[in-house]
Amino acid sequence: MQQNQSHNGKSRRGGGFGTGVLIASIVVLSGTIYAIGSTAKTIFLAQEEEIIPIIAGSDLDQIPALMRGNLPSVTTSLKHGLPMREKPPRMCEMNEDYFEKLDRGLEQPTGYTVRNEYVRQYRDRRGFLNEREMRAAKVAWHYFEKFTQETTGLANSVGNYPSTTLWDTASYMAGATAAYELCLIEKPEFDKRMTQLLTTIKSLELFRKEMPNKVYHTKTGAKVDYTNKPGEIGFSALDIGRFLVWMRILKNRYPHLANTIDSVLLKWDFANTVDKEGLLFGAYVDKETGETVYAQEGRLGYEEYAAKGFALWGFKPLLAHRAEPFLTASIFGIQVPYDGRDPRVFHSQNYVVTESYLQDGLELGFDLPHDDTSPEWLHSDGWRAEFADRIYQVQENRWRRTGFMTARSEHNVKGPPYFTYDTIFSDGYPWNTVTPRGDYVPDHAAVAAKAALGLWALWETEYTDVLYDAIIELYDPENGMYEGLYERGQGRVAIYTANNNGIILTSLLHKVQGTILTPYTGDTEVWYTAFRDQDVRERRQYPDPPQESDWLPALRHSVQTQADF
Amino acid sequence: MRNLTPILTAIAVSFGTMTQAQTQQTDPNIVDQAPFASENAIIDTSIPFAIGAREAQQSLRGAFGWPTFQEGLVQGVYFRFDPDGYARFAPTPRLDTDVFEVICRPRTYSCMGRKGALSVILNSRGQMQLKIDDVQTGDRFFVSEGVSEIEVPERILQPLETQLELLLSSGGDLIVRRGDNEKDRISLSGFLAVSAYLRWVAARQDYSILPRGWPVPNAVGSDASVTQASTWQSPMPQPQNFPTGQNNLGQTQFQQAPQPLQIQVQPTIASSNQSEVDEVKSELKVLRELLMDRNQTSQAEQQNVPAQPAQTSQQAGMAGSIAQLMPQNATQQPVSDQIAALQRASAQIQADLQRLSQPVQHQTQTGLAQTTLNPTPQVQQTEKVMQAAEQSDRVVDPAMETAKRLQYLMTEIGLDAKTALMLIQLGEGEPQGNQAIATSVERPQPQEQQPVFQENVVAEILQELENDVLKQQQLKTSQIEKEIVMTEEEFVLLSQYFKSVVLDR
Repeated sequence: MQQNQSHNGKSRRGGGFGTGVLIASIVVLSGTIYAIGSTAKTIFLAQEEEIIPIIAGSDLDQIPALMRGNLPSVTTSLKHGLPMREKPPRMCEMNEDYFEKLDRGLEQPTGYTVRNEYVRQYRDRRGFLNEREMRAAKVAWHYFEKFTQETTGLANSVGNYPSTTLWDTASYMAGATAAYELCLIEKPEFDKRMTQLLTTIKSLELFRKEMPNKVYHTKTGAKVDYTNKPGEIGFSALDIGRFLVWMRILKNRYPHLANTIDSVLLKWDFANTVDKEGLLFGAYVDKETGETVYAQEGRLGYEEYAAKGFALWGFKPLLAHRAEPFLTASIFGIQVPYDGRDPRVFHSQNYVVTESYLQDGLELGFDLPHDDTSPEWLHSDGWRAEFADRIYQVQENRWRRTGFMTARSEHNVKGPPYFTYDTIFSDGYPWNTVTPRGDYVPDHAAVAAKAALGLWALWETEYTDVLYDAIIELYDPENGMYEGLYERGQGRVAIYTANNNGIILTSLLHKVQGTILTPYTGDTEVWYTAFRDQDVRERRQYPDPPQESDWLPALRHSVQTQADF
Repeated sequence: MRNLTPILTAIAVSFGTMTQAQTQQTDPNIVDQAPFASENAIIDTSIPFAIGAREAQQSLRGAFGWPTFQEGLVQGVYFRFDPDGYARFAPTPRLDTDVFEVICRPRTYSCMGRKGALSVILNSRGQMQLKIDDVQTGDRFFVSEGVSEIEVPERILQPLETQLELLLSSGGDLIVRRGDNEKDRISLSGFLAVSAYLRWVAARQDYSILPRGWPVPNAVGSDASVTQASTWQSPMPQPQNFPTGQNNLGQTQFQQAPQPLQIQVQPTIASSNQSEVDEVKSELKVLRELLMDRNQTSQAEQQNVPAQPAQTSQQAGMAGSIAQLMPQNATQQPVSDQIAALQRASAQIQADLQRLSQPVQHQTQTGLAQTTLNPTPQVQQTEKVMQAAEQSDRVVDPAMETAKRLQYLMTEIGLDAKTALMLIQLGEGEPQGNQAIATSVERPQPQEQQPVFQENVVAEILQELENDVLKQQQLKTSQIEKEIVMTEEEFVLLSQYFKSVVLDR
């Protein structure tokens, strides 16, 4: 039987083998398919499980800015986790040793830091007010007591002339803040005055439904022209910028006024005020056609100060905050910076005066708008502080080399021409005193009271002591501080203005409290959240809360190392 | 009456302004806001003073000021001026040295130029008048140009003659010498521009008033009058077109209507006096008619009103007559008030006539007149002839008069018939203005006789008016005397009166 099987020569495998192979093949194939499927499933399905949800305001948030209103504004304290500066107490609530504990940075080297911050050669003047200063503060405040209109709460710009600008209204806000912090008035009066003022400003008729008119009648609140007759002129970006600085100061210091303050600004249309490049624009009426003309406004000094006012509210005035184009004129060995835009082309003069630098130093501490942490002696807007040092130094040098006490600013005068730009440099000339139309009027050169006390507050030197003695008793107890002292010996500039008295009060407050602007301590603001459900924010170009990318840059310019003659 | 209104209004306005100014000066704390009131804008800075001038915006930072000004360069001096007329002229663009400053009285076209001790004003006859501080009798004046200098007469302190004005306008320095010492030296740079500016302002920025050769822009729009012959600069006498009733300045505007620079003074005064006399005549006529009308309509109602003495009313001030002469309430006023008003108006007119006659007298005193005013026998004779001619003119047939004028125009002037007829028709259409011209054309008269002749005519009219008034008064007084009968009970002794007062208490 076995032979037969072998004899045939062929071995035949049974059908079970084939079946086994088939089964094996099927198994292998199925396994492969399963493996591939499992792998694919692992790969594709696992991706779905790892999606990160997009949180409003996070890095992945691509939703339009309209929805980002509840983001906090990014400041240095938020970015770097540093403690904010604290609002100082009112003078009457200060401990006696308050000033002994202040960090004044006396041991710090002068000059720029690696982050383009700047440490000035001289320090601020700090301390309690003495008797003479308190008397000056009371008299200066008396100007506002006397010349504030009961009907509107607006203060006259000049004596009893019932008109004002936003610039001078900011001076009134400065005066009221100083009066409260120096304990000249108490909170009820302060609140009453500010609430009435803000309510009036909110109800003011705007220039062509856009921004506040340049001038308003203080008794009626009507918009008027330069002759104080009903009419309209246009708006001034510089005036608005200063006003924004003081609205921010009030809002940060007194949160209970915040909603009122926001509601004032939320009536305005900023669409034509700050352009995409960050230049500031004012407006005027074309005499021929009656149409609105928008024109760039501001020159070196005022322009940067106003730009910072806008930046404090989230705008991005990048170009306006830049010093360029600027040139320098060598005066008494100091390279005095002035605006390089040619007046023959732009029809706007380049006045170099003290006031804009003083206001930056007193109110903003020569700091950038997003800086709420740096100490008093360190100025994050470095080049502004360095330029201010030059402005101070050239005036001291003039005093030392000619004997003329010098504290130059724009100021009113009694009688024609009623207003002068008493400049350090303008129109190609040093110590040029000119009228608004450009006439040279050296007889109106004066030591401006506001400039003198501003210099005294920010530069603690022998020279400012002299200025102080010249000015601190220059007042009429019935009307306020005089505008100044004529340089050529004609006596006092016998006129009283809101701006002069406001800046003097600010200077005195700065001695007690340092930089006037304090950090914002809330989370978000109505200013950033209002109208999110409408297109109003888009149309009026209300900004979003500034982020780090929106910060104005800290810059430096070449430093003068030796006298230049 | 109608022509007096702007004058009287101006007086009232100026009076009010003075009162306001005094009120402001009493409070030292008050800021003077008046300088920038829109009423003080007397100049439109968009109208160029000379070719190349431009209007510019003032760099205002505060709440008030003039929004615009004008600046430019003319005749070698740079200038800037504000809407209120305040101007500066200087040879440097900075306007910082050798500055001629012009200041205008608020709300008027009355301006004054100043440079150092020198002041320049434009008088009511359009002449420049110099004033130099601290000048004494015996001081001598020189105009110096480089090394050469010439002495100028002391007359430069009187209204400037054309020749002297041209001399001073040529530049150089004006030197004041006291003995051998040079007391003062004033640069005359800008004098020409300032004098032109003063005239231009007074003429409401009319280019025709600027001196010959002044670089003015092409006339456009409303300045088409520049092309009219009557406004051309000419050494010959021109009919004076005084702008009246254009604004609220009235009298001031009338008095200060400028004269062309090169016009001879004497004929100008004569012709202007003639036209003013015509105006006065017509006003007197209106007054007389008004009085008669009122008297007739309200005679019955006015009998119980006592008349006022004429002497008192004649002393009333000018401001009072303004309100009295207003016609709106005239029908309700008692006749005595009207008479008083008319008397005051009469006094006013007399004063005006005296004022009108003054320039000629003054001119005589200053030596500007060619002949004296004292009539020689020959002149007196001519005057009588003229008076007779004037009287005979009043009864002349109008047709004869027209024919006479037509003949004169055709034969003497050489006009064709059509033109002559048109001129006469025009003259009839404008009786006040052109009649004076036609009359002067018809009978050219010696200039020195004109004031005397005018005075006679006006005196005659006034006499008629006074007679009318006196008649009215007499009539009324007699009526009142008849009406008023006092009873004995109405009289109370003074002692009894005092006694009654004491007892009442």
